[in-house]
Amino acid sequence: MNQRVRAALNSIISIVLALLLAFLVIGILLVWQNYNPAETFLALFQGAFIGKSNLSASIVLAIPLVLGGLGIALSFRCGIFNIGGEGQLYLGAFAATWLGVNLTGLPFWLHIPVCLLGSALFGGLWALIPGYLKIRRGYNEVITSVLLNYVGVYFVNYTLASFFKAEGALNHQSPKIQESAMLSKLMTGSELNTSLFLTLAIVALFYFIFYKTDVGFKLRAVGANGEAARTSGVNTRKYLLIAIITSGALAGMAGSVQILGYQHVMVQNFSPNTGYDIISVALMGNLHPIGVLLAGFLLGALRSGASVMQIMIGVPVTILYIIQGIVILSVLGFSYAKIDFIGLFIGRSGQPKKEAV
Amino acid sequence: MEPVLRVHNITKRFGLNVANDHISFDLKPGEVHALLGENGAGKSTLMNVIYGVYGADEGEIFVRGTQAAISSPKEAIALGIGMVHQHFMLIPAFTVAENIILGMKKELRLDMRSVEAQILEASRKYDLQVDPHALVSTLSVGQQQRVEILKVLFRGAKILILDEPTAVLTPQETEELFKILRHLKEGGVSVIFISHKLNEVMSISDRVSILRRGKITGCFEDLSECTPQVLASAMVGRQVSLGVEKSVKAPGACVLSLEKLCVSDEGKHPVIRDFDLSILAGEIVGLAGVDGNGQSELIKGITGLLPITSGRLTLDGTDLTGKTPRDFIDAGLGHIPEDRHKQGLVLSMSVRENLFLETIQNKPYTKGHVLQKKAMDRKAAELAQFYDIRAASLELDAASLSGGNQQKIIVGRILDQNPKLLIAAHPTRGLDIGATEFVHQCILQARERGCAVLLISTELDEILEVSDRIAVIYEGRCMGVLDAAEATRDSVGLLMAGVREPQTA
Repeated sequence: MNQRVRAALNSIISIVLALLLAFLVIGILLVWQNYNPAETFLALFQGAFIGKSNLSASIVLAIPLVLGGLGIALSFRCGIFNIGGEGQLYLGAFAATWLGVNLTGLPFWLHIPVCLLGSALFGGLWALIPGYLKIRRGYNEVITSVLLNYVGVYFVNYTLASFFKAEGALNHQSPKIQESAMLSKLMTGSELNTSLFLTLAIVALFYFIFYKTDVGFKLRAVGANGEAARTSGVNTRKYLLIAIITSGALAGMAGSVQILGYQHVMVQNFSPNTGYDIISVALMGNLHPIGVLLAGFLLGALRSGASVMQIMIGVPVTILYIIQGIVILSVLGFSYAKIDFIGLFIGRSGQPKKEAV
Repeated sequence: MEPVLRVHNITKRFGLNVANDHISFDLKPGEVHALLGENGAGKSTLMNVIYGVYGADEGEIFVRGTQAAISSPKEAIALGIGMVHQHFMLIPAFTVAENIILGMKKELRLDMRSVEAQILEASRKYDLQVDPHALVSTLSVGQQQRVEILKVLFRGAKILILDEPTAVLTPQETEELFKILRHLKEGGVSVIFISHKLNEVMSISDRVSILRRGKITGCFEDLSECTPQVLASAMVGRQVSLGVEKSVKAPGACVLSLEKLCVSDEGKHPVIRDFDLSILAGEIVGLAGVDGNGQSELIKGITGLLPITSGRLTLDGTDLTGKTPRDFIDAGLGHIPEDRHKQGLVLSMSVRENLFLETIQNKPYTKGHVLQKKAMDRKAAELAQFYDIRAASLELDAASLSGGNQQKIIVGRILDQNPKLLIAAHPTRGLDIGATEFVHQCILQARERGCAVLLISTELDEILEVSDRIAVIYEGRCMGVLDAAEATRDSVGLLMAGVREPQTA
């Protein structure tokens, strides 16, 4: 069996097993709390996948997760751990909203890209700070990027309470963006918008760059063994910087697509925890673009299904976090233990033997 | 005489791999029995079975005539079996005495003074001179090895297992070690001596057993009738040529020149000091030295991986002082790194991808940043064939290949670029005789083409055999450059130990 197919199957099996384990644990919790697990799971499933509006709501929630998750996957694959998605996302959304509100008279085909690029730029620059500190000074990027999340989020919340506050608004929120900056909807009665195509295009582009170009080759080499890459003449600092800036830019876009796509005004705490959820998505997706696409959709679907579940059954949405936690821990556990599920099923015969000299 | 240790029909499997296949082996009192074999022949596995690290799948072990079930090193020590590992297990911040009793004492109270007295007595008895008060970090490698041996003897070992004990020693230190071993023999200690160096085995052992692919393929009782050639053939299973055949060739123009080169390590401590060396086209300069005397820093300095703090480096006339590794490669450097897993390969990437680590951005492998799979496949197949890289598929991870084949990936991709200067750092470390021969052939072919070669090795035999000139490094300085024709083990060994002969001073 082809090595790549085998690896992909292995990670899919490990996610499925992890999900089963998570639902088993949740089931026990539900029984303990006198809920009917079958009913609850049915509501969750229906809310996630059944019907046009439920399915499109799932996709809408998945889009920022996939975009941001891709960036995190890139940075992790390169060995530079960007945990600062939350701050980058807020700053990106801030930039897009500001441009969306204040640029007037632009046609939509110019206005939308300007807003998106603005968000990518702001997110990328915010990620440049921990990147620079890591590469030039050796500071741990995990700590600096996490701390910058607070700076970023509170800065944006402050602007919404001061100079960027909509006049006359009761809440702390921005003015509405111009019509020309809004992404068009794909169908009535749903918030699904053209950012879906943007996301799919970026996944494809990401896959192409990562696996089919020399830049991707070097990014992968730097992540898998930076010292060997450096020894063979790769400028590792440059590629680490590319990785973390790109990941910040994607996190910024994960913020802006929510504003340009359907929220249209930015309120304080408009997207809580998304910057951390994208880390979960990246890990669940095995740091692979296609995996991130699937994991982002899965998590988006669980989100949207959970709110239906809460309305119908009364089980709080927060059980999602238990599912998310168990899935991530098990997936990481499986990959750490290097369990070869395919090998367990079809026997070890398919495994390549170590070659003798 | 009844053997002190006898193993009978030991078999040890790891999955499908049979590391030890019905091995029988015995050790008489007061003898040095050498276990000779290539890497991966199963020597370490057998010793780990005897020392209780692994349980055997089949077979018995008899210690002094009684069957013993050894399931942990602790039980092995209780039976009087001691092992000195290739990598020392000492705590540098502790004194010799503290290291020796570490893990031994059961009482709560520790009377260091009486312990030190006992250690001193033992060191006199075995003629192993060490100062019990000395910090291990202040000792030389040879002295640390003495501490390791004393540590084992102090625990009452009568059977001593030495795993590649000479790998880190100068020739003179090796002689010291042999003196100690002969003395121990007289005191009734039996020694299992593991090695792949034929000359050493010949000079210290009473008997030699040869291990090949998990089986004992020969036991030589009388070494006086034996030659290194015979042992080598038994070890590899076919005729091997030990010497290296080299054409006589006048070297060409100067390719690499180092003038008063100074390099600091990653922690900014100066290591290489005022190093002068020049290498001409078509010659091999061997850099001899005991491990840890600045070889790594010198290599990193002349490949651009560490900054040159002062001095000048020119490659083929281009001043490369202060340039990046990429500039060095573009100027004609080929570098076979000392640690193939850390520096030479990306183990989690495929064999095919590993063949292009330096050249990926070049045409025809990349056009406008897009990888050209066909061109890469063609080149990869060509390299795999020419350099005899044996892999079931080039799509397998580099990690799944044996050490020899991994090294061939590196040697192949470097030499294929036709470098003007080749830095070969420990190119045969951990390789079996067959692969070693192959790598040496590749290096000699590069020399024929007019490539200047710097060969760094801690194996003096390799240096003496392959080089045209020999430079010796000691504590970061160049001790001297000898003509290979005039160099002897002794003259190089003295320089390796930092002793300058009057005429070269």
